[in-house]
Amino acid sequence: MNPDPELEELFPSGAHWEVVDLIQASRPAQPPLDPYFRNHLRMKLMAQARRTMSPRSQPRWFAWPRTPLLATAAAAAAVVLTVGVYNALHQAPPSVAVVPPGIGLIRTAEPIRIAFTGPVDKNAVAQSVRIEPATLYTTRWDGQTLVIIPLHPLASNTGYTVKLVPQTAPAPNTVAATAAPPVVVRFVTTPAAVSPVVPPSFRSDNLTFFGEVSIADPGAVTSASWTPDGQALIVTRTVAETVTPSASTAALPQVVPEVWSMTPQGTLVRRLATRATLPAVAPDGRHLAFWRHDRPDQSSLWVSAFEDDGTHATQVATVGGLPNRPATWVGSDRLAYGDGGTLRLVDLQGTPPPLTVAITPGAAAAAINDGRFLATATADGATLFDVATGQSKVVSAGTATTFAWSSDGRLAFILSAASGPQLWVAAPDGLKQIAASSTGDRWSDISWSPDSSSLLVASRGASADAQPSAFFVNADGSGKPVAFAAQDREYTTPRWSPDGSSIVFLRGDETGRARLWIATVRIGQLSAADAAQLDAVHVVTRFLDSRQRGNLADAQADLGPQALATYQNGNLPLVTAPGDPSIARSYVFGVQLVSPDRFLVTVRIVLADPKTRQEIRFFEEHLTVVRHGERFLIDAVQPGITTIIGQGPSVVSVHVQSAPSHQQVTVKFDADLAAATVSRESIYLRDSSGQRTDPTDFQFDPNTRTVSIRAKLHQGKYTLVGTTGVTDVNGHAAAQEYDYTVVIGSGND
Amino acid sequence: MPGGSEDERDLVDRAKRNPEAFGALYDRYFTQIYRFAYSRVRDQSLAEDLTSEVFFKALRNINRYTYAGHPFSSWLYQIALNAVADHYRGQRGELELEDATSGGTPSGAVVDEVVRRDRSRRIWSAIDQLPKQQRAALILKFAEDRKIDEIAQILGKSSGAVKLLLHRGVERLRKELPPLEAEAEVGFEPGS
Repeated sequence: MNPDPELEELFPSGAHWEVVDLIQASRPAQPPLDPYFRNHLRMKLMAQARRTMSPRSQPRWFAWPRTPLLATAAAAAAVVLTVGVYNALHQAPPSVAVVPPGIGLIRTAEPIRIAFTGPVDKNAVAQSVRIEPATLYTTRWDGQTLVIIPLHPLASNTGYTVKLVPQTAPAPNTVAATAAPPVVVRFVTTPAAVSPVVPPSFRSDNLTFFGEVSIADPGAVTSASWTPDGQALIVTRTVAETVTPSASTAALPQVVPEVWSMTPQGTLVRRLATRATLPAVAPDGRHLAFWRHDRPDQSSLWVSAFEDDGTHATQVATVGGLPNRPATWVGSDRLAYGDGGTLRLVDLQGTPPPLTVAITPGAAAAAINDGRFLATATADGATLFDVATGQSKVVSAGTATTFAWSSDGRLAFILSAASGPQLWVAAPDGLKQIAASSTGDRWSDISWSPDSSSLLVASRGASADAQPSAFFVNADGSGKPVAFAAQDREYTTPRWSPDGSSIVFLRGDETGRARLWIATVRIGQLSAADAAQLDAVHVVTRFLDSRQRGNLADAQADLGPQALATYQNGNLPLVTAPGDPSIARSYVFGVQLVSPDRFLVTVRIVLADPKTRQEIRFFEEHLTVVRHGERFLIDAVQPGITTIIGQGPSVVSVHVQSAPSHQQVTVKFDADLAAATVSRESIYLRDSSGQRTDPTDFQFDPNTRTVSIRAKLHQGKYTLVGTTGVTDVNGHAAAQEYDYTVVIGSGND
Repeated sequence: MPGGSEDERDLVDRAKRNPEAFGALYDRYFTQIYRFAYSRVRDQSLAEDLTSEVFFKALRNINRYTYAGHPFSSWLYQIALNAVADHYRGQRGELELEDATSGGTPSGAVVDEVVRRDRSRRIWSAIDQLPKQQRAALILKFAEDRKIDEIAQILGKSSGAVKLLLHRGVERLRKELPPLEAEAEVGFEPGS
């Protein structure tokens, strides 16, 4: 045994060595260990880690850029914000509840809960809510807890301030809200993932699954689908309701379906419609369509604004009987629905456009993303309709049962052949059978992967007691179908999340009741560029971590000579001085591939008042990160903008992605914006000579506060400009122009 | 570097945001933590529970972990120690033993126990009977090969206090254990 100098120093006399030797010579044997326990615990831990480390349980390349400084205790991130405001309305000074970074990062898709310990005038309190950055919301009360529900998921990486400033007279027997000081709650939302510079492959052989988690009690949810932005699930659940059929009959308990939004973690957020079923969200996320079963022989189709709770829904159609599937959105302004042997279209006011299609009764239908084409089953086979002209084209003869369009405009459908189901993909360049079953399996739902490279197909064996399963198959027909997750488990109606991070499905439990589950998806092989990006961003996050901790030496260790000189010359502060505003948090804001192994990483550093801990401003730095042998170093640094927090809307992320024919710049804001102020004039790209570039497409999605600019850019530098013409929903303009350097490098070509 | 290799710091860094890295940490430290837990409770099922608790707590709180010159395992040991303490908190055995033995009077029962068991079990059983801080210090030093600085970090004490615990623990064992001759009398062969 090697001598231990510490023990030799501790026991200089020989009197103790007899015992020391005895202890050392008789170390306890390895304890008994159940090898299953080790693996079992690991499995449980990993499931928990995947569920909690990333707010959306994202795949590896989505999840890794979380800044350690921001990545808080998993448990804290997993719950909604619950702040007890003790006697808030009784106390003289304002009650401020700060949820500091590292303690209470709040998921972006969760409601905000503020618990009161005493009676309050609920109406007055609910009307007193003010949220910065400007955020549209609704409220409800759960007992003494005020639940503030943002209409759209909150922005990531953003410090929010929620103020309750009572303004109205109190209700009788409650605390005088008008005399109460404001309650202030501050919190920071979870960090956003940094998108990869190279999109990953969702081909069937590149996917693995783990961490299946049940997110709803048995029987609580009977169907689930994703919102287009992937931030929430739309679920149908049944609730008990007491109804009085008429004045002369007694009240009867009745189970009725309701449509709710739910976070991917299983928190019910908001009721979207009562006595409603078979929901479908419009592609732009603004409207919800659902069916109501009015009478045994009649159902009605309704449309409501997504922000609504269904009480202001518009009835747009009625049909006989109970439909067996949701209505099909055709674009975001029309709906197609089956009415016996006819497929009808209707707009959001209930006006039927002049197109009706004779279909196979009960046939499925699917519309391409922009709503120009509609696919359904007719007596001739799988048929495609031009919605504008009504012209049709038979894609394939036979009995087509299911249709799904990819984001790039290909149509997948299932044909029922005598030998078994066949999966076909139709594209402008032809039709191809990509899978077929000769065992009599039944195939149903089809779900395209986010990159349209593969399809997830729900399957069920031929025997009556076969349980539902699913498999992946590449959309080009290459390779073999790959079973989804464990083959001995049940997977009913599996659906990809829009970002490819997970798959939601139903599974019956031992009592026969369906339970909602979510499985995490992992992308197997990273591309070389992704792997390099992973390493580069890791260096940057470590660098930021060192700076926040005030560890100069560690921070400098990640700098090359030029960057080090920039900081040492006093041009930029590497760490903050005592008494100065301190670094509250920092994060990777955007990553661009300049050339192989060279990245431009923009970081944002948020400063807080050292006394109040309130975030007061942020600044950006553009770091050039370059591979030197086996490691990346920060070679150069350029200062970016500095912005005072709380003065109008701010940009929270910029992502640049290159396709062969164009580039797409995606800009996310922290505040709900006045849509009229978001235009090609207020947000644009300019080239190095100062000339504006003409975008080929400009889109604003108010639900995600995202502007997408598509343009054909050439190699070189551009500047993304966000002008002060952009205002939030409260009318506050951006405090200053926002500039962000966009690099189109050799790596983007 | 005082403790914790660059590789480990890197791994811990990544484990804050990457489940796979956390899994690697688990793989690296499971055996140590399980062994430590078992050494404290001598019950397989309980050791499993404690080990689970340690790693789930670590997962929940890993973002609060800051490198302070000690290996990551120190932090895990610290959690484990707290978990063991929580487990025993309120239970008569440990607290009473702590109280009963901290006065320094050798317990006849302790000696009896030592004499009764085989050599290895005797010395470690004797360690089991030490006041809990002494016991933790001795286990960490002799069974887990931790440095005194690390043990100080784990126990939340100064290095000097840990040295004192080790010294007192060994001194106490020396007094309570029968001399080697006595061991021979009960059929024990020294050096085997």
